[in-house]
Amino acid sequence: MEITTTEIENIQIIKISGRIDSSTAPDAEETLRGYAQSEEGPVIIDGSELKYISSGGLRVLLTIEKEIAKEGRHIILCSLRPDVEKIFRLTGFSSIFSIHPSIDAAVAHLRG
Amino acid sequence: MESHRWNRIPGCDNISIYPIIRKIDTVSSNSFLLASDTECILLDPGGLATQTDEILSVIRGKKEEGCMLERILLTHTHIDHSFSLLHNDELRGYADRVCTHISGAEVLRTGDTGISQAALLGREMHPCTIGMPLFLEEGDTAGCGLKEEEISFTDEMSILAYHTPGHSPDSICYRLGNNLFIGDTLFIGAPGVAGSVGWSKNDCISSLHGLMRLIKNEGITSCLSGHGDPIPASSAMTSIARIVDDVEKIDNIATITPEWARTTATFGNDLMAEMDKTLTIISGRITFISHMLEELEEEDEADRIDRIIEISAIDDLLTRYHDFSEAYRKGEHRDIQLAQKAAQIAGKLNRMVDRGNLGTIIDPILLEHLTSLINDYMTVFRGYQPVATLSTCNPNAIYAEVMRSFTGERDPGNLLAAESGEEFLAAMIREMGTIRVVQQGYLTIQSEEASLDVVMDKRRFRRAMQRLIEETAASGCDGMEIAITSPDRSQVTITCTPDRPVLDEQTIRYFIQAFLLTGGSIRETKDRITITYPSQRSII
Repeated sequence: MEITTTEIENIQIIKISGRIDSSTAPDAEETLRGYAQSEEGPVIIDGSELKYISSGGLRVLLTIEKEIAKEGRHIILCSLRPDVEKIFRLTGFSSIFSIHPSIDAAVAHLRG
Repeated sequence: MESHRWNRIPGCDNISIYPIIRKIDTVSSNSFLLASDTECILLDPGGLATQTDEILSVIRGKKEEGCMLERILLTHTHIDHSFSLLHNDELRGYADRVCTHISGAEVLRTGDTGISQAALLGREMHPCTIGMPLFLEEGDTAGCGLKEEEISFTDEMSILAYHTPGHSPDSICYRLGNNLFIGDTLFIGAPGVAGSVGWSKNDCISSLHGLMRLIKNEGITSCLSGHGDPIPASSAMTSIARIVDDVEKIDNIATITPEWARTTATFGNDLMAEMDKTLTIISGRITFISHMLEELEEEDEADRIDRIIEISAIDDLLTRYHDFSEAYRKGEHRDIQLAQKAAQIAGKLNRMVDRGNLGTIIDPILLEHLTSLINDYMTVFRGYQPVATLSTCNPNAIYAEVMRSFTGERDPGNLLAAESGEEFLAAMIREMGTIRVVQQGYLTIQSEEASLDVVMDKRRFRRAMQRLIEETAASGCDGMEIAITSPDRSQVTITCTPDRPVLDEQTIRYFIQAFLLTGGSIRETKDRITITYPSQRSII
């Protein structure tokens, strides 16, 4: 798993590549928390290269979502691969997170 | 008894043992070195280079003390016990001092990759002619009923060999004092082992009974297995009695060949992928419900729900399997090893999922699906075929039932009927656990006539269809067309066509297997799944 960031229209985008499973979930949690704490506003995650998410991975996202929700901020997921988006739908997590088909759609959503 | 160092053997004055005890796998057996003041014996060289290095270093050390390697004993010629003997030049130099059953000597001489399991484990065999085959003649039968032969030495060490065929035709147990080296006896009934080339049910039972008599009546105190830790004789007796029961139940199993291993590994890999999805959905739903309860400030209940399933432990197992299968894909493991890993992980997952508690929260079909995946794989891994329970039923009626479960109106009855806070909470949790991804109108059914009855396994069909509908809907399809036709009255064809191809190759392979197990036959698989069933036949 690899987590990198890019900036589009002054908005930081966090890209997660590979797998979030039991061996990578602790790193994912720490890294995402670091990014979330260093920035303001929503935490936008580009999932175009995220190939697998385990239930532990879902938990990581939920934990960060709960932490930042106290400040009125939220995680926004975009460009999820069909296999990964399917898991969000089948577990009910698609009702917790805001999910968008592309980064552009996510940014447009933010711009209102 | 400590591994990797010399220990005194209880009951055998002046004889020491240097065990090399390994974790249980198919790569290499344990090895044991035995030494008196002047003679040294190696029992089972194993199959790992590092293990061979250690063995040779110990042998050289003993040689410096004037203690020479006199014999190499093989409990049998399976490649995990004999590989180093065949491939290490220094050990091959002792070929004239190797003892094994006469039939094993032939396996080594001819390089028989079947009985040695070398073909199954993808290992090469360098043929080797050994100098001291055992049981050349009929020989004596001991009081326990096993053929017995004494291996004589010049010193005070005396070893008795007992022919214990079953696991392989050349299996031998060796006795030194009150210690019995039992080779692979404890594994002969195990799935993935029973049915290997050279395995014999009748011989297994006969040998196991003989060993029980030997252990019980002749003062054996310790049993040293070819894999895993030594165990007290009493534990070995309990294990062997259980193995006898297991072996007696084995009938008509498949022979474990490289082809069987390949098919089983592929089947297991596909089922493990489906198990991974199913467990992720179950665990994810539990996390989702727990989160919703927290939002509702029902922290205690959220905490209780959260502990119903060991999510981290399950995730760990799934990750371990994934890592192993990736290594397999890179050629680091053989088919049989992947098949065994799938069985090991599936068995652990099965024990970890508390269906009783989950059943009050999670869709029962999902749990039934998980159980069926595990059972089907373990059935195949044991050398059998999963059974389809065929009966006459109407696919239209099944579709209606499946769709009702997906899109039916939510029943507020349980919530309204709740008479206490606890009942209300329980009903609400059940409601939260029902995640609906299939919209009304998702399925379009085109049927030639409503009364077309077919012969199929109804429960399997319902589960497979429910998963297919849910899978395609959750993967972004907007609809799926089901066409039920009967071209010649003797058959009914059901064609499922999602509005776009969303299933990957592995998922399609899983669904093909799932529908095959409903009693149907699959005719095409490109962007649709077509299953053909016999129509209106009597129950088989």
